[in-house]
Amino acid sequence: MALNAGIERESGAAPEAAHGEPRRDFLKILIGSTMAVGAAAVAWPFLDYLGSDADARAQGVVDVDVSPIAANSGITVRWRGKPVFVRRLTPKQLAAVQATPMKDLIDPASFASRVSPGGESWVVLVGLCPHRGCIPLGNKPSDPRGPYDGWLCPCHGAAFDAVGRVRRGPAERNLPVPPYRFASPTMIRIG
Amino acid sequence: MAMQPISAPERIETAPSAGFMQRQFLDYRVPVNLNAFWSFGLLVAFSLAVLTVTGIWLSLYYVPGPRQAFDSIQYILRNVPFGWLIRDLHLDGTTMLFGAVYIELFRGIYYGTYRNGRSAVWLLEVLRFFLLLCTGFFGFVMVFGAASYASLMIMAAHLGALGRILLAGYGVNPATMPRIETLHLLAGLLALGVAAVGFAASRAAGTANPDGIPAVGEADRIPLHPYYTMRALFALVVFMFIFAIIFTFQPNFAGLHEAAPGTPALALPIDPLPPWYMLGFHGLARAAGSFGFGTFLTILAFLLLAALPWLDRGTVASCRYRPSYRGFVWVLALDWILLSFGAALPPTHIATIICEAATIYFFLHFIIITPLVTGFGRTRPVPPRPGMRRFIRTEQV
Amino acid sequence: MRRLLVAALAAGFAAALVAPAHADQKRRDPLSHFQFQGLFGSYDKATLQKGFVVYQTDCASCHGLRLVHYRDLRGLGLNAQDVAGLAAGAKVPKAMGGNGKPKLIAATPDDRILSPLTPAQAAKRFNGAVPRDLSLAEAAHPGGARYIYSLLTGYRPAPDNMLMLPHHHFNTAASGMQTAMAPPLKAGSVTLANGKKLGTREMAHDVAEFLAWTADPSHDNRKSTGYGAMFFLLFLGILVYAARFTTRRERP
Repeated sequence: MALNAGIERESGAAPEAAHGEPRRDFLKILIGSTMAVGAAAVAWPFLDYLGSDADARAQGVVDVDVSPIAANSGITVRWRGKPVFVRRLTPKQLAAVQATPMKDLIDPASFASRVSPGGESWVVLVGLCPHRGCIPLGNKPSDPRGPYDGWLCPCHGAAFDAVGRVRRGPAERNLPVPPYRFASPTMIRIG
Repeated sequence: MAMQPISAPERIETAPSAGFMQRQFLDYRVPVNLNAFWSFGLLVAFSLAVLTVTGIWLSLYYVPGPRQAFDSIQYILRNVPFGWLIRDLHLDGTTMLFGAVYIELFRGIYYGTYRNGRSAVWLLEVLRFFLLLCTGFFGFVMVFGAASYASLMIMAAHLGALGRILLAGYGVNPATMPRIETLHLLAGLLALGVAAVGFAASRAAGTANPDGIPAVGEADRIPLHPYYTMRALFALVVFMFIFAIIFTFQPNFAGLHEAAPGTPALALPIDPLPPWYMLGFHGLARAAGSFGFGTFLTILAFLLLAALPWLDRGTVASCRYRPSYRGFVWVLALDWILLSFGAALPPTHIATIICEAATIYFFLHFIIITPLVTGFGRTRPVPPRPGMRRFIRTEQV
Repeated sequence: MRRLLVAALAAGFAAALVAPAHADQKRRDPLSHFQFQGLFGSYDKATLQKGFVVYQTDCASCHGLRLVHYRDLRGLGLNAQDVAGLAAGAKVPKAMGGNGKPKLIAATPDDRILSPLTPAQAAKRFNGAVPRDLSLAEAAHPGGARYIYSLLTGYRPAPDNMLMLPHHHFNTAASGMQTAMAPPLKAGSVTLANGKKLGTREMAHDVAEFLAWTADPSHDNRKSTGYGAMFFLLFLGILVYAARFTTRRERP
């Protein structure tokens, strides 16, 4: 109010010294805080709007019916714009991946950490090579699966085993496992 | 526009970045005698801010396409969090904006604010009005309901060869809606720019006042803050209250007939009415009878409005002190309402006669009445300084 | 009526805000009155749910709700399981498999509620008439829900001197007093949980309110938000007016 005060003195009036001053200060504070509350109430919908809309939210969760998948075969589904491999393993493949010693792995991960409890014969992986993001081969019957009976990246030759652990470079990490659970014995809910 | 309602802490007031706000909004000195009409600048600015922000938000989900436009708006309304709120604020914000803009124009004509070296301010105000109407029209088309489609086709017919450029062809095609959207943004941004320049021009020329005489003396002006800030804030709260009433009870007050998508539209709606703020121009076109003449009359209306500083031949600016012209200004306002009313009626013989009569009077006002009445009409003594009207009256008694 | 109000601008403003209460009609036929249209009115969840059942029973075989997803039905007060069950009961065409041809499979809650008929199929079945999508049917007519109620209850035997179009039905509310839609509501086709069967007038009322909801699902939110804003502004307005009063008193 420094400048204002000067001008007011010039024009011969001194409202600052007038009566009712404490009341107006209180009013000003009350008005200011009321307006702040109002501004916050208006800001909230505008921020919420920028979050996801209903269709985008719907894409975040995908249900996959796994009953038609035969042992030793897989399907590719789309989840949040990425390919997701779902493969059913044979008992022989399960025994092989369980028998692999941890010291042989580039990115050590136990068998149990790669599958969902109760659905151990199912492997669910995000099908993007951790090296440069190519889609590894091995999900179609005609595809090569590489030396470890899993997936083989066509770009730089990274090889993965049957639960998606990297066994040969250049990739340094395993194929990621998306969050999923069995909604029913034949239905996987990814997301 | 969140003007500081309370005196900010000393620290902020003395900061260099606050200098502009300090000079333009707190210490800026305005005439002592402003009345409620002078709150409308703030109300226009507030409406523009609401429309700009909600418009940006809506553009995040809007898809310009012959079919997608309509569906994407429905998607915003139904499936985007608070999409209905933001769309309705944008829709009803136009009603609030044009309400304030029309009242501001009336203020200009009534109090002669285009006088006393403010003709540039007035020209910018008319240009802003024109750009806002263009923005409003393109926005109305963007909804792409059945009435939007009809209005677009009618506008294309009015514009002739330009209409083909507007449509990107002979009818609505995939290239049409992107350019409508671009034109909406372009006209809107230009309007914002013109509004900003107009604000600067108004500040440079000095704020007008209801007495229509320059407020140059130190005692004729008082600081904006605190004398007008609380008053402006009160006007803003009342304005927002009316906004809330329209939003709550008549969200479709602007008259968007969006119950059916625009294409395929071989069958037009029975009454492709534009929003209320365009009805007057709709009336001019209806009175004209042909597309070409309608375009001519609309352009002429804007030119005459812009030419008001030169059509006004009087020595007195404010209608407070020219009683004979004052009556004609009120009649002009009623004439515009009548024209809008006639344009909203079903296309009957009576409606056409109403539009024709109102159109003739409208042009008569600017071409004949204004120069004559302002030049030769009765005037009353003007106070020596702004805000001394009461003093004059006592003297007369 | 509305166009007059729009043109009258400020003068008609207050009147335009509140839909005129048709007191006469209300007394004659209480079902033609819609409580949600009142100043403080909101949709009645039970009515909406009954209306949806009527839609499913007597409308959905021809008409779709293109703009409504199954998930949106949670706005009627249904829970996620109800919605999933409803969706699973409907078949929607989806491009699946290698040949790219759409196949009819069970819908998910994120699918839209579509008409089972393509326009070509409908035109063939109904002699050229294509049932319109009902998402915005209530908003399409100035009469709104009341119009839908009148249309659904407006079927009468055609007067002898009336020239009827082929395959049309006499209806007092339809434009031209006739419509290609056969009387859709069958009395007793909807049974409530308590065993009570709905009459056609009750069905018409409930489905009209349901279609008002499909046309404007944010109606209740808008009213509560609007009232909240008004109370807030009233409070702020009183404060600002008081502050303005003290400022004015001190003016030089």
